[in-house]
Amino acid sequence: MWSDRPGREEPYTQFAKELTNAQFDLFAFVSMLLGNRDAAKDVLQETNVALLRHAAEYDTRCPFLPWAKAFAYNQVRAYLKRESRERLVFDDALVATVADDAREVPVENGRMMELLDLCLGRLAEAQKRLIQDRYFRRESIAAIAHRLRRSEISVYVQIHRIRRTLGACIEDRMNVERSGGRA
Amino acid sequence: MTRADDYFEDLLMRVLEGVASEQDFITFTEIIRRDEGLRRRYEREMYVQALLDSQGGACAPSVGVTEHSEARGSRFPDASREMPWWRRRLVWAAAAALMVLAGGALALAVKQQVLASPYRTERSTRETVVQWVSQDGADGLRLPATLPGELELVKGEATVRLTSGVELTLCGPTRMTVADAMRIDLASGRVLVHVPHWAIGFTVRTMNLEAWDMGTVFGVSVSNTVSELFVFKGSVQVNDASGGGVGLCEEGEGVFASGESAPVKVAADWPEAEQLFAPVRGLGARSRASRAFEVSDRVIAAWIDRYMPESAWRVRERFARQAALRKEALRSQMRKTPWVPSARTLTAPETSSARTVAVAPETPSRQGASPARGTSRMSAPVLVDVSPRHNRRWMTVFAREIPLQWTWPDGAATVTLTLKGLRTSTRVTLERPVSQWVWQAFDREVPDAEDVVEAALTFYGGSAEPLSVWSTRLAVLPGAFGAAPVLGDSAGRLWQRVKNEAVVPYDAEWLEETAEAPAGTLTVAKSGGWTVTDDVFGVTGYVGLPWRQAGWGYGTFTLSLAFGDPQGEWTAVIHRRADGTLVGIR
Repeated sequence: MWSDRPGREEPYTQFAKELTNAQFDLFAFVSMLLGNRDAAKDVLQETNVALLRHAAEYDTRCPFLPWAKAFAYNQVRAYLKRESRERLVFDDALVATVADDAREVPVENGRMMELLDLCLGRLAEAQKRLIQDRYFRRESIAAIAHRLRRSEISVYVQIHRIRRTLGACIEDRMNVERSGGRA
Repeated sequence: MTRADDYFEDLLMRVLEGVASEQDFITFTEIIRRDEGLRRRYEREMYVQALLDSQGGACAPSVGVTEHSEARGSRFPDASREMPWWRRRLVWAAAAALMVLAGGALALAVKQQVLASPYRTERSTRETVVQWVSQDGADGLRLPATLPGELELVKGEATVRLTSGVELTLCGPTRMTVADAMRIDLASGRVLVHVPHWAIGFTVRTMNLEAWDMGTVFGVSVSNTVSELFVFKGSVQVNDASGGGVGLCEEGEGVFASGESAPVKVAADWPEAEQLFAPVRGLGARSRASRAFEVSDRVIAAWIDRYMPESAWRVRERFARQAALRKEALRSQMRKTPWVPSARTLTAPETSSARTVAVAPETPSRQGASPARGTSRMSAPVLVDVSPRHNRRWMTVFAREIPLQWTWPDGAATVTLTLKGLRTSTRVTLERPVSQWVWQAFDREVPDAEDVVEAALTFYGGSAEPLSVWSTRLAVLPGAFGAAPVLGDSAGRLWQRVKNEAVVPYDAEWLEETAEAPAGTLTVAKSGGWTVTDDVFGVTGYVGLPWRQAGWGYGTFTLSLAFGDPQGEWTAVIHRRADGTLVGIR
C-alpha cells in the first residue's frame, strides 16, 4: 500500500501523478478495445472514477499502468455488457484479443507525442490545417465540409488518409530509433 | 491496393469516424477477428487517433491542472488548441470522485455523458446477417434473418455480403443455406464466391463437394446430382463429400462431380480453353458472374469432350436443364423493362421430355415452301427463346435425336412425316397405331452446319385428302453445342461458306418499336427482277435461306424483315456473285 512507503511523496499526490501520466495510455487502450473514441472517453472517465475510488488499494511497488489497465478492462466489459442491449459493440472474445495485442503497445512517455509533432510537421499545409481544425479546434466534419465546399465523406476520407500517413511516419521513426538512429 | 484492402480501409474509416452502419460494424468486427494483420492495422490507427485526440505535447500534467500547458513546442499555434479532452475529463473525474465520497450525483452525470455519445444508435430488431449489396434483374431474393438460414434467389443476379466480408453473387434460380459467416451449403443453382484474404477458410459445400477457400474468386454450381467448381482467381482446396482430397484448384482449374462418380479435376489447359478463360480470369469475374459461369460451363464441357467423351452426353443434358432454368430467369428480367406490359401473362416453356433440339410446333398454314429465302450466317450461338411473350412455342435442347410423338386424330389411318431442311429432305409414311418416331436432326455428334428443318405430319383417312396437318420447325445451331467460328471479318475466306444456305435469327423484340408486333414478313427483292414476300414463322425464330435450292441465281438482293412499324424494319443487301457472297446489313 502506498501509505506504508517511507520517504515518498504524499500518497494522494503520487497517485494523482501516476493516474495523470497514464491517461493517454489508458485512453488508447480503451479506444482500441471499443473501436469508438467517444465511447472510449466515457469509459475512461468511468475508469478514472473507479481508480480514484480504489486508490487506497494501489500498491506503489507495482507498476501503475497494468494495475490501471485492469480497471479499464473491467470498465470496458461493463460498458459492453450494458450497451450491447442497445447498440453494436465488440464482443468479449474480440475485446480480449485486442487487449492481448495491446500488451505490446509501448508505454507513452512523451516520445510518441514528439514523433507525432514531427510527423505533423511533415504534412502539407492543407493537411495540417485539416488536422488542426478537426482535432485541435474540435470542428465538426459537417462544418469543415461546408467551409471547404466539399462533401462530408470526402473530408472523412482525407482525414483518414492523413491519419494513415501519420501512423506510417511514426512507425518509420520508431523503427529508425530502434535501429539506433534518431529523428 | 486491392479492392479488398480498399473495402477494409473504407470500413476502418467509418468505424474510426463513428459513422459506420450497423452492418459496417458487424463486418468490421468479423474481419479484425479473423485477420491479425488487419486487426493490428486497426489498433495502430486507433492509437494515432488517440494521439491526435490527446495531442498537446509531453504528457506530464498533474491532476488539478485547469489550463493546458505545453511541455513542448508545437507546430500549431496554441490558440488553435483547446485543452485536451482527457485533461478536462480527468479534472472532472477527480471532482466526481470527491462527490462520490460525499454521496454526490455521479451516476446521473455519467449517464448524461453516455447518452450524449454520437455513436449511439438503436439496435435494429433484426440484425443483418446477410447484407444485400447489388442486383441485376433480381427477383425473389430471400435473405436469412438469422444464421443458419436460407438464402434464395428466384431470378436474375444478386450480390450479398456475409459478416465475414465474403461476397456471394447468386445467379437465379439458386438456393443455399448460410450456416454461418464462414460456410454455405449450396443446394441448387450457381454462386460466385469472392473471399477476401481475411476470410480465408470460407467453405462451400454441395452434395458431392466441399471447397475450402484460400482467398479467391470461384464459382460453384449445383444441378440435380452434378456439382461443378471453377476458380477464376486464387486457389481452392476441393474435397469430395467424404472429405477425401480432390485437389488444389488454381486459376483456370475446377472440379466436375456427378452423382456417385468420383469428382474429376478439370483445367483450361489447352489453347482454345485458355483463350475462352482469359476474359473472366481474375477479379473481373465478379462483375460478370453470368459470363463467368458461361465460360466455366463451356470449359468444363469442352474438357469432358476432350478427355472423357463417354460422359459428354450427361454434361449436355445437364446444360440443357440449366439453360432452361436460366432462360426462365431471363424472361422475367426482360419483363421488367418499361416498355413491356407488366400485365402480360408469360407462358412457361414447354416441358417436353424429349432430348429435342428445337422449336415451334404448330401453325400449319405457314409451314413449308416460303419462297422468300435470303442469305446470311450467324456463327455464334443465338438464343431466340428469351422473349418474354413471343417465345411460347420455342424450346432449346442439346441433342440430335428428337423423339416426335403424336396422338392420332379421329379417322386417321396413316400419317406422312415430311422433314425438309436446307440441304436434305426426308419423307416417311407410318400407319396407325405407330405414334412416335425418332427424328435424328443431324448425323454427327455436333452439327457442322446451320439448318432449319420444317417438319410436317400429314394425317390421312381413307382418301387422298389430308385430315389434319401438324407442323414444327427445327433450327440447328452448331454454336449451341460448343465453340463456333465468329465470322467478323468480311474479307475472310470463311464468308465463302455462306454463299449457298444460311440461317437467320429474328425476334420482334430486338426493337422496342416492334415488340408488340403480332406478325412479321420477310421480303426478298432481286434487283431488276422479282419480289417475294412471306410471313415469317411467328415473330421470333429462325428462317432458313436455301439460296441454291431456290434457284435465285446471282445478282443483288434486298432482304427486308418487317414487323409492321417502318422504324422496326431490318434490311440487308446481298450481292451474290459466282465467287462468293457479300452481305450488307442496315
